[in-house]
Amino acid sequence: MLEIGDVEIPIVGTIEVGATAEYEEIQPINNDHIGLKHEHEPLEIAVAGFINEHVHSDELSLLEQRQIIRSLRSSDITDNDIEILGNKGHLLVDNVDFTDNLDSKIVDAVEIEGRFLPWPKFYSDISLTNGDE
Amino acid sequence: MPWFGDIFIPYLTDRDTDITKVTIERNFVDLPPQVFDRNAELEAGSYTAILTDLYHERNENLSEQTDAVLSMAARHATEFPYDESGITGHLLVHDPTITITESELIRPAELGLRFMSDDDFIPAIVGTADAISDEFDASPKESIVPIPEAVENVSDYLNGESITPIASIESEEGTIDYYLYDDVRNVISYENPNDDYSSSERIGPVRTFDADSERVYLDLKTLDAGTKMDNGIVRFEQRADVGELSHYDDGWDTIGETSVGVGSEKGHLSNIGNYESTISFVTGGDEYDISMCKGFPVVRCELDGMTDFSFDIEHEPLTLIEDGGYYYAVEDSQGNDIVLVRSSTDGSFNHTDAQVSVDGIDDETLYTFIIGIVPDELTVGDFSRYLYNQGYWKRSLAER
Repeated sequence: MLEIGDVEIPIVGTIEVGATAEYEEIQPINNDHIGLKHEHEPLEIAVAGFINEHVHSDELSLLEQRQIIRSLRSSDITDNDIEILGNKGHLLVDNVDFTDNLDSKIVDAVEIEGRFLPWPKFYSDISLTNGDE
Repeated sequence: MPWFGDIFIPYLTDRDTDITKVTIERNFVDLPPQVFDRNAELEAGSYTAILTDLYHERNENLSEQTDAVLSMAARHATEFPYDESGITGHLLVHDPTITITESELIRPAELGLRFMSDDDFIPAIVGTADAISDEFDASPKESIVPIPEAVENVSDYLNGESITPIASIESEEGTIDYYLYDDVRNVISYENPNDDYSSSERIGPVRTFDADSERVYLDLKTLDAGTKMDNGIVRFEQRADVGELSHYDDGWDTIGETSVGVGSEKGHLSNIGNYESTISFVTGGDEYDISMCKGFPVVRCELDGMTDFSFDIEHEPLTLIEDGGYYYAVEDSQGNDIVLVRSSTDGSFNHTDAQVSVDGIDDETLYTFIIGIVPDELTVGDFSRYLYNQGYWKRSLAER
């Protein structure tokens, strides 16, 4: 299970974590190419999981779980505190995708993509609800 | 099972890179078609790896290994000398990705990178001396940059002349030489040794550990009391009430404690690098940064909210060596020369049998204090001047 603020993802399959630093290649006319790496960007996180009525701690229906997870896209980032890989922070949710599984009435696949802003590097003045703070 | 500088990745399973060269063909009315080659782009691609705590040279767990791999995007390419199967050069990692699955034993990783061949590029350090503040005259404006003795052909890159170190110091992992630079941009290049190409990055880098003694490579982890920094010469443990400084001399020995504690404050690694790292404690109302550099037996504290800064000496009594205005040097009963450097004329130096301090500072002003050991091969005055004028270091890969 994964909690993003008050939102529960009952079943987590895989989490993909990527750190990206923008890269540029300069092509001088008479010299070898020069590679430039800029400052690293906030971690990109993609969570692939499932929603399920029976495993959800509040036994929300699939529809209710879909609605509440979709609301992550519009909620304030300071409401999306998360602990991931043992690190605490906030998740800026970019995208939420649901896959309708017509074979099942009790489980649907979901993918959440976003950027992880670690605490206390970001929003150090805000207490976290997921974790010790 | 290669080392990527100071980062160990248990298994490298695939290397997939290529070199792209753009060819332009032009047709002419009265001439045969001409083909022009542009310079080749840098070798680009990805390395695929497996992280596991079943095998790791430093027994790091999956969390530490994940932190290490993700930190490669934040680190300079010079930190990743790579030599395997005849491929020698530096890796510019710009896109590391890790997948966490249900397995608790392994994590697949992929490193998107550019490869900077040793045939075309050599590592260098750009040093420009500059004073911490303009409140003291610490001229001539010079400083020193540490480079492991294990490297070869240390040269002034701009004129190609070989340069020699002015002093050296022993770290837990090997000897580190000091090379002089001034306030005009200096580019010092070197070559990694052929017999152990990546080893120089494992000699005295700045390493950070959390309160559970787990290695911290990136700015993701929350740090609190018990956090440690270590460069193989000095070790600084920031506790809730004090900061303890230890020195390596054929074994670790406590030198003393600063008066600065962090209580229940939280922080993070704000500056990431083998040559210099900084921890910032940000949840209290005051500023407090701790920095350590490769090769320097000192710790630098930038802070406000204090009316005095003191360092309690472990081996008392101490005797005064020199009051240089911006630095204050004492000798402890073990013969260690300990120096305290300040950035401001505020307050005054003081000492007792067991403590050296700067008293009477303004609690609303940000100050820099540097505390540590003077290397045997340098005078107190010169070393203090080098610390005051350290200025800026920037790592680079220079074209051959």
